Amino acid sequence: MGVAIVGITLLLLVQTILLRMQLIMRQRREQRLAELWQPLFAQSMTALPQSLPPIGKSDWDSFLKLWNSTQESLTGEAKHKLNQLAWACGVNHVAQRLLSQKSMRARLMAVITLGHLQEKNAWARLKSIANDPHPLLSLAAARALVQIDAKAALVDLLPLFTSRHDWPLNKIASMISEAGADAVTGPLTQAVETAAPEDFPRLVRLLNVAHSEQALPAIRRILQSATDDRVISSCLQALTDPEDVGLARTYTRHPSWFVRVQAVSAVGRIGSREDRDALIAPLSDSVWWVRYRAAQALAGLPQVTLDEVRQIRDKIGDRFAKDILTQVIAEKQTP
Amino acid sequence: MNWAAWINGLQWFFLLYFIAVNVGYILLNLLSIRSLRNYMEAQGLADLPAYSGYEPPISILIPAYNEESTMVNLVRSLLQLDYPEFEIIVVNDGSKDNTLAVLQQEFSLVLFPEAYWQRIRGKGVRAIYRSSAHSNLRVIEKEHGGKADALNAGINASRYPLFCAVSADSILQRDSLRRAVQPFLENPLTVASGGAVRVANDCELQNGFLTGVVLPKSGLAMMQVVESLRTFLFGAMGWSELNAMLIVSGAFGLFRKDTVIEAGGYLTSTSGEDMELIVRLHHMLRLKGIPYRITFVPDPIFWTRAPESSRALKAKRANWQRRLAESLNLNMPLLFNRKGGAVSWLAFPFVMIFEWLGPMFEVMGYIFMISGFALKLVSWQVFTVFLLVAIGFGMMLSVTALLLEELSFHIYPRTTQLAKLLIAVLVENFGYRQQVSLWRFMGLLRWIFHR
Repeated sequence: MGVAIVGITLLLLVQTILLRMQLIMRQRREQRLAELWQPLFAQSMTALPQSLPPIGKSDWDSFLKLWNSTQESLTGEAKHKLNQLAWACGVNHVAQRLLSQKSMRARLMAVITLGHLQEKNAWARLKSIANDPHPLLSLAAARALVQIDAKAALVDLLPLFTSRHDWPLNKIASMISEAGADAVTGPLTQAVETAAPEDFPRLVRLLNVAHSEQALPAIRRILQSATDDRVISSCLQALTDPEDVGLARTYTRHPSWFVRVQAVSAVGRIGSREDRDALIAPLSDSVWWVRYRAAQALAGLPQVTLDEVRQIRDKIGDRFAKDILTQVIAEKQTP
Repeated sequence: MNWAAWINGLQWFFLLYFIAVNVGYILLNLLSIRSLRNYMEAQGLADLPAYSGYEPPISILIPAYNEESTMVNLVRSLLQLDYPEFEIIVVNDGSKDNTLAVLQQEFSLVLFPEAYWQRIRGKGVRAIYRSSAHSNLRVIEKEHGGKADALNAGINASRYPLFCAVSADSILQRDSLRRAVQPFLENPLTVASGGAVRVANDCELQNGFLTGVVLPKSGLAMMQVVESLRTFLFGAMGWSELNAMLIVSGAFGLFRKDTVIEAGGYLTSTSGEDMELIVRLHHMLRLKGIPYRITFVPDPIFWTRAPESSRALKAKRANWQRRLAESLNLNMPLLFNRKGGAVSWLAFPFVMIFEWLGPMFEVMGYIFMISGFALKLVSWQVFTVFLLVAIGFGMMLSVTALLLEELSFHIYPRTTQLAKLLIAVLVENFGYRQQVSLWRFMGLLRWIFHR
């Protein structure tokens, strides 16, 4: 047993040293490649270089890493120019090959590369990978699909946006914002209209990256018939048109406190001076957050001055309402 | 039973104990390798751009008791954190020094008439101040009630759905919050995340942030570097994989506020409030059958200065042992609870036997074997096997921790640093580990006799 323990310990020590050596060699290789290719990448922005150096088998990983990170920093036409250089180097063939490998890193690299390349031939395989249980790989594949053809991709991806809770919302938002609000608004609005109550809040939050005003008619329709608190609350959050203030006001006395919070916030956001009275009763709500948002909403209404808020506070009998108004007045006074 | 049978039985007991503890850690290690490999795949290469504005806002809570010398720098550095929306709440827990005065002067604090919402009961809040220079900074002035009470007051005053408890001696990185919040973004069931504590002695600091990593010059601090690799890279990482992590560093933890309030907040009757809260969250959520995740973030996001004197380290380790004992003891019904899953059936018994009672068995094992060998009651064969198991396995585990570090973050990039670490992982098994076990055993005894 002693020999085994000593042997394994020594092996682990050697492996640690080997890993460090490997890391140093990789860093040197990456440095060498960057020195060689970065000027060529820059040159390709004006014209494709006449001759390109060959890429050794062991250099492909570092090359793709460099190429992808350069792509991430570019926009518009520059991305397209860098793609031309990649095609000249045969990157598309290498990426397709990597896609079949078992290694997660290789597949991930391939998916990211094919997305940047907008490689239509990889569509079917990327679509299947978007359903992979691995969150990173599937999310990268979804992004690649959006990069290739946003409209077509959204048809397949919208159900995944709600079902894949392992896809962070900020990453989905980033992905669809790359496609542009024009491409996203229509499919997203449609999805919102037919969403199940549990999926609804997630989709409504994504409207931030779309032309949300175009989704308003759908939001209004849903709000008028909604019975689920999550749906009502999300709809209230999405209201941006002053014409909807009446609708928002009706929910300031809703039994669920988180609906009331969103209702008073919406009144504050889209309401006018005439909505002051609708915000007085929520100042005495049993929940602190409703009182606080009502006070903020009141103090933030157009043409309502701090002096007026002070007068309301002085007239009000409820201690909780007085306290919360005092706090919000102080907040307004402190920069 | 005669003497010989007793001696024989004890030999077997200690040998089997040392084998069990090491095999347990090796299994944990295997889990960590898998978990760390998956985690590392997410780094760098697959770091897809994130659309800002979807990160949940965070309230940073800093309990302060007599911290006039450290608080200003800490707050200044926290104000520069790279995160879209956060607030800082310093809770001055009845300090007897000038903590409040220095904060007032440095951050232009003004009295603020806040409608304080006391969701968790605690000692009286005397006043709330708000900085006129930084609208996201508030200071709560309250009666002294201890760290847990101060944190509860901070929770009461916090506005955001997540809160981050930070101790006054913390050194963060600019992106610490961004990294710590990742589990909450990736899994909505996450209720808490904790980060790895790294040793900051002799490291370069700029504006309160860590900018350059070097190994400590002090030998004792160097040993703690290895210890922290072992504790966090394969301890916490392995348990996190099973969603059974029982210990999150009190110096930096991110929590879902509503869940903590539902659990009753921090417990004021224990000195191990941070550890106890995590165990209680497991306890509450497992027993209620609510799905949840408590996740470990292995990135180096939080740094602290390790003690460089034996006396300070002894006090720290003894204190840690007492806090662990309190946390487990207060949640004993979780042990072998049929609803408790991996926490009840794996993590709790493991931590109880190998961490809580472990120092006692280790110290007694060494005393028994060494004295038995000296008195010729223990044969040299048994003694050799014992040393191989106790020290040889220990070295193997320390080397594995270093290997995990090498597979992941390479926070010590120079070859000379690796060489020093390699020496440290071997040397720490000859004296340091045994000394720490003894200090922890003393902490355990103090808990038994003074609770």
